[in-house]
Amino acid sequence: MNGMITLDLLALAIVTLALLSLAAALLISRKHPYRNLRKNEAFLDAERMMHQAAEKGLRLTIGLGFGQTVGAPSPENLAGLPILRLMSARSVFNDQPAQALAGGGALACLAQQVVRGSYQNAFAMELFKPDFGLLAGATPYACLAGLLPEVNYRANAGVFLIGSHRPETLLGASLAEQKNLPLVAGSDDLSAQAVFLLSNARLCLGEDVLHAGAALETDASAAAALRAQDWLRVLAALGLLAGAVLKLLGLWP
Amino acid sequence: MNAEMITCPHCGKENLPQATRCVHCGEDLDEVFKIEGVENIPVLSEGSDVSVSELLQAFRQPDKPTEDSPLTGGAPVPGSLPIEEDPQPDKPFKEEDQAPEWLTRIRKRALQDEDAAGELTRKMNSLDNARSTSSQERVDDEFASWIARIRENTRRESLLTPKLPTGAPENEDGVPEWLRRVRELQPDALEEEQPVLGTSAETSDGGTDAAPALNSEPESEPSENLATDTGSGEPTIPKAPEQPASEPIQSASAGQGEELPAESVSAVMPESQGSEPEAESGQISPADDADTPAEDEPPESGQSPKIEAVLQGIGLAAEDAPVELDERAGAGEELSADLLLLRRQKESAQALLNLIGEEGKGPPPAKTQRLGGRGWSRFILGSFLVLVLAAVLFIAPETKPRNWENPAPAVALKDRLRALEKGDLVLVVQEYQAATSAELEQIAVPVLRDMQTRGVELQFLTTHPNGLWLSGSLMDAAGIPARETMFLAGGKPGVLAAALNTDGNSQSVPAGLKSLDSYALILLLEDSQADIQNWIEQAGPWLSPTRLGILASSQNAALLLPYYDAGQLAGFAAGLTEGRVLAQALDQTPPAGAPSRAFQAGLLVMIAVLLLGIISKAEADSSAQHRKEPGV
Amino acid sequence: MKKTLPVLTAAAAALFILAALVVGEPLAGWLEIVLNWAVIVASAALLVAIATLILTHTRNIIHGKRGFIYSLILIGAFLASLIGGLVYGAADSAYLRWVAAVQLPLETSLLGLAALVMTAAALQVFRNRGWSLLTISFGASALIFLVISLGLLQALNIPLLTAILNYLQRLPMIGIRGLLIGVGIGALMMGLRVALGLERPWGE
Repeated sequence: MNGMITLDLLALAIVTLALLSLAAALLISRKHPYRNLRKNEAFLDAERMMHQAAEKGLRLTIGLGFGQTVGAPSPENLAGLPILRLMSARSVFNDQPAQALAGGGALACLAQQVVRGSYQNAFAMELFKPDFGLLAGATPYACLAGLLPEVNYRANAGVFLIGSHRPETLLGASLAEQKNLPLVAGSDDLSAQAVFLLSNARLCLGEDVLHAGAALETDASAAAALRAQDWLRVLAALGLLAGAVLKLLGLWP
Repeated sequence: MNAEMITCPHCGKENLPQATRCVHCGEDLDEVFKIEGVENIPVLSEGSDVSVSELLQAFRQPDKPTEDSPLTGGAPVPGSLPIEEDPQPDKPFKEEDQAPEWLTRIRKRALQDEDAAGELTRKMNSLDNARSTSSQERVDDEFASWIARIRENTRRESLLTPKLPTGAPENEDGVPEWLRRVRELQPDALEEEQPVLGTSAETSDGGTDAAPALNSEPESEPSENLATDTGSGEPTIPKAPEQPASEPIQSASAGQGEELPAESVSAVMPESQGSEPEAESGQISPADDADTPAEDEPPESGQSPKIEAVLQGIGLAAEDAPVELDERAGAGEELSADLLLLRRQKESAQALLNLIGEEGKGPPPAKTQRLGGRGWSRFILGSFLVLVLAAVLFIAPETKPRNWENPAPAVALKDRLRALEKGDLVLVVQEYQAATSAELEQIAVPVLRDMQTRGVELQFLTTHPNGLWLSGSLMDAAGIPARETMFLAGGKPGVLAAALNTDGNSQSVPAGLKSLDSYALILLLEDSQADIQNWIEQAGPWLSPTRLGILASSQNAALLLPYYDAGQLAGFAAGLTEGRVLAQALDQTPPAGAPSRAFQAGLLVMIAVLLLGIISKAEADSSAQHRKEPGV
Repeated sequence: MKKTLPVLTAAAAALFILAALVVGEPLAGWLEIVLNWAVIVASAALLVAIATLILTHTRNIIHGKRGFIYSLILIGAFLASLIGGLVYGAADSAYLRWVAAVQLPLETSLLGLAALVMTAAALQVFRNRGWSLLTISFGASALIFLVISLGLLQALNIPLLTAILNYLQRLPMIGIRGLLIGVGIGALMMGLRVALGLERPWGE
């Protein structure tokens, strides 16, 4: 602890606060985890798309974004996995199961594990194929090149682009628009959010992309985390205001 | 028509002999049946407790009219599995498999009681005699074989018929192929029939529409009732030769090979057996009307050969069973009852098919449906953009760089670069893709050249495999002697490992990479927000704020401002414009003007397009408003 | 146990790294080892993912699935670059130039296409989304910053105008800070949930 600087202490404090908030949210909302949570229209549409795909016997495609090519995925890269889990669970016995494409090695393996887990839970391991979770490309543009043919697949019912997408993913969004496919898009990348606004997509702006589990009501801990995030955001806003006031008053250097 | 009508035990109204369900009240008529050849035997409902004496009394009084008229003919009991291949002993009908209880008791009694048995035997013999009537046997056999032929042809045709493409209209104007052919052959007859068979001019793809899941389009054609098609298309209605042909054979529609048609055929066939007028031969009971094509009887309708040709063309005509059509259309009470029955059948099947077709139809697929013809507008717009850029690149003259106030972050980076001395070690981190290499090389080359000129030592590092072959191009452009580019694997953990590598001996980092603190400046060449945040978040806390400088593509300018404002960066230059400013500040040759001018031209086009979009939307809204108010 | 062990491993690793970053020197050596393991595991995951991809496309070729030609091209390019790298070495300048010569035009054309698509999409954004606070503010800010990016206004060297432009250029920082803080908090929460074993999308 001797070598710690102010920044380290501040970071430690924030992490501790986050842990406490998460614990409090889990305790408070353990009986009704999804009550009073704000709804995200994009994820509600996502559920409808899953139903339609099942009824029509078509496929859903999800692009999980560009993880680190050679490295562990960051939390933002994992944003699409809750949706993939729900999608694959609902498409186990469909005519065409969901297809996941990832832009990083570790993310692709995780996607495969998610799909495998769904099939294991459904006791239908004989239906599982590793093809359901694929590496689309080892570099961002290679991943984009691998994503486009899957979006163009003739039996697609809808496309999801959830994760760390670059602005060039607009090509995939535009292709989905040309084929009149419903599209749900969200990215933590600021430029990508701006270009998705140009497309026909149902948007997840900002940190909403990380709230799939809570929005789809599949993960109580995600709902608790969303509540904890809201509290922390309020605290951050109050802190910023307080800092601005203190600086104006000359009390803050 | 000589068919005996059966009376519904529930409502008392008459129904066709082959009907399994009353057309008036809808109740089952299964309990009403008749043993062939014994017309007046009273039928007992299942489970009814009837004494032997009553039965014997009934047998002794065969002429006594009974309320429950049994079914006549040797037709299989309707509603069961009538389309068995043939009423062979090894494939009895369901109802015959289980002899009625009263019959079982009678037989037992017959074995015990000679007289009773004798009585029964006489009756049975009479039954046997009736059955053994040659014509009836022949009728039975022919009917069964005709049914078998239809099923076989249906199956064959389903195998041979290619599946139609999704959404492809199968028939023009909703008229089925087979009907069109029939009409071509018999235009006159069809004109007569169409008023009667107005509802039967249906598509033949009812079976195909039974699987709408793969058909992404809403069903443009009515998914027709195959049951009706097959029912109304009963081909072999032997009748008086003078009588005109009835409906054309529509059982071709069953040739689609779907499950529904086969079942519809099987379900409808027995019910529509009596739908057509009487058999030509008086020996054929009403139940046999639709049974056989009467093999020995030549087609007496002048139009039968044509119909037969049509049937053969669509694979349903039996070669040795000339198909005769009952050409009497809409005459008689029986025919109207037939049509009523057929219509109800058709409605039921239509409802079922509509349900199947409507299943899964949810909200419109896309948020806004893409209108046709947008592809051309996109092409025109793209061509316009390319032309403008080409004009700017090749035609527009080179302009002198203007002097304007330098952006603060770029000035800060310039100051930091100016503070470097000879021998200082700078780590250049390449984290951009090949697509953005042109822009970043334009920005980075003057900076690298400046440092190289002043004797600063440069080391190159990349965290992307791309960087290994892009660094050569960068070094060539900057005039730097080629040197090895180190590869730092692991992404975030790798950067963190490099940041924690204080003694320079970590195994996670490349051999030549020293502790990050030992570098005077770490210059990041970035085109991605994720990579920028990697270094700022993982390595930044372990470095002093003046160690990190960034040269980035223009799209990241907004992202870098907060970090610079927070003091986490020494400075940055994002985009070609700031790159030119930085180069001028370093007294280096600015990057070639053409890309800057093309960049500006692209911005102008984008501004024009955005304004055009706003104007067109406003104009569209205005037009819509005017349309809503017609008086204006 | 089979499903609990990975969760425990992930949680232990995350908590250890947090602790090592806080504690510092005593755990520095162990931290380096754990990070090394993470890099190795991530690299192995990439190899597994590439192998799965190659096997998938090989199966497509063997079964003659629709589009197998593209699978052939992919496997051919993969083998060519793999064999070339193994034979010549990843540091060979000729090999690197050859790879760059193939990759550069492909990626540049994709980026150019993205620019064209973006232009076309800009024409339709208001038709697609209608008039709303989001689209109006987007359109207004896009126009303002496109004009500013031209640099023509700065070239006029009018002090007041320059001050206004500087102020406008710093305005997006407000929104970006908010977004970055929100995403950061969200990522922090997700990381904590992974560390605590609460986030397990891969099965129960």
